[in-house]
Amino acid sequence: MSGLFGALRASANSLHILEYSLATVQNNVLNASTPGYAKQRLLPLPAPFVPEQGLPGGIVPGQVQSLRSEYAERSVRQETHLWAHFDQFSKDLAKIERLFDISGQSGIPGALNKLFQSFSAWSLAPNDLVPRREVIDRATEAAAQFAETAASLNTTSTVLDQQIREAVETINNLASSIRDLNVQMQRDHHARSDPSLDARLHATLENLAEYTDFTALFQPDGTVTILMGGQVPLVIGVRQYRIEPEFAGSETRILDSDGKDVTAQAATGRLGAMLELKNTVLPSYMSELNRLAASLADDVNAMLAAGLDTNGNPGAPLFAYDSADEAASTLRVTNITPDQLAAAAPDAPLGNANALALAGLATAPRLDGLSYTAYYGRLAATIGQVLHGSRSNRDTHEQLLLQSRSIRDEISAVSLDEEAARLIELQRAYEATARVIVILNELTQTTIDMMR
Amino acid sequence: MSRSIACGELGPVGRARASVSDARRLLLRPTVDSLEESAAHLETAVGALREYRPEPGAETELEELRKEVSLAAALIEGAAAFYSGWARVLFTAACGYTASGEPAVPGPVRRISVEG
Repeated sequence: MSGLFGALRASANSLHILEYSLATVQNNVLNASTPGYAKQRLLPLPAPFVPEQGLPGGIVPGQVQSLRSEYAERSVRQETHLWAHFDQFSKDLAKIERLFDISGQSGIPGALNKLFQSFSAWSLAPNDLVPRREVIDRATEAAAQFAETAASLNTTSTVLDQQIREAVETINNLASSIRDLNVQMQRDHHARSDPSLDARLHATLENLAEYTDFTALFQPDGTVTILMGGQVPLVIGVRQYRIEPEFAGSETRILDSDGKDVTAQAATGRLGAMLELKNTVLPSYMSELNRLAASLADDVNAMLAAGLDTNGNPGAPLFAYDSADEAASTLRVTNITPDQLAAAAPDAPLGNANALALAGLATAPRLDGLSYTAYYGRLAATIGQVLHGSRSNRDTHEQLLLQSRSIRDEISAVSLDEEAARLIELQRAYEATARVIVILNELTQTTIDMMR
Repeated sequence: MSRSIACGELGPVGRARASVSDARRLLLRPTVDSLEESAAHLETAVGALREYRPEPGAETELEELRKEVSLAAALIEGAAAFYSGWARVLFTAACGYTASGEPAVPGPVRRISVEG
């Protein structure tokens, strides 16, 4: 008799577990599109089977387990920060590339071509007023183009600083969300197995990975420690450590909560890309532009000073700038008058030798063995090549990100097909167990009737 | 249907690129089946390239092919890095580390039986 009751009890337990399993499937289906959610499975455990002691065996509910793979999650985060780095770098560099025209028709190269053409036209009529005025006008235009490009680069630098400020704020906000989740995990033991908190945590970690590289260390108390660049604490337990941008001088730095410079630990992700452009790439392009502007001004002024103007005096300078490190932004034409331009060489007054020499600057090797326009062309080509390389890296990491997400989803994402199959399987098991219970119930009743 | 017609109109480089592109799409989901299937596409690409004879003006097409090949190569390396890394994690969890600090690799199970 105890055997029949035991079997009845074991079957009832099975129904109980099937009910739990159905609830797990239902929860998976409802969360199929919840960001960061990983599918759950109820693990049944074998119940003790010792018939002589009245232990009927069967199964009892075990733990609900998440099928999340932290290794796959880390792989997704790794690809996310690399893709985001090149995506941000490409977007911002494309804005800079547009400032450097390579057609030779507009911008600095267009203005330089017109200036050298004006020197050439002046050499044909060295003592006429019109070509002299034309030289001053074209020089004014060239100086304005340098100043405009330099101003645009400075504006880009200011915009980058604003973006860096926003990126740091986003990182701090995401770290704050993780800290809040840590508080819940530490306060409530059951929260550690709560799939919704786990989903929120992993979705937040993935968002954070876009902005910077970090190491996430899962602690035994359920909290997660976040170290930017593997070293700088952003969150430890229930404490958040804020980072701040510092815009002192030309370089933008990232400071940790103690005011220590941790810029090197923020080298990748969107923030890393912005810092690289602001601190390394932009200054190098600006430096090249300054070198070109200073060299052009110095060479033209030196050649004019070596010649004679229409009054037989040494030529006056055409260009002026404040200092070599801001030559492009401050390049301007002096108060020179047309008659002060020196077209003649000292040994041939009223001649055109000096104007011809100035026209020759168009093709003469002046910087690193290159003419001014070729030097500018090399700078523009370098920017184009860096942009091309960055876009190529972005495309590659975009594919690798899709691949790592696909592997992760294969392991832990909810597949509605799979859940539907599981549902049918559970339904059949439920029906079979229910049938066994009916039979057992009838048998028990029959036995009781027989005993009467 | 439309795919084969389109491929039929392409030259060897175009056909090779289409095959590498198919392989690349499969490698985005690197299961054992898709890896095997992508290998077949790559073989088709090699076959198409064997028919190629250098011709002027093919630079753009070749550059496109080069880009596809480099993306496919990155995906193969990405999948290999993922699975070898995962294997290291599993080996370490199952067998610990060797004396030199490397993850220990599980050895074959040997059994002997004595009869008689």
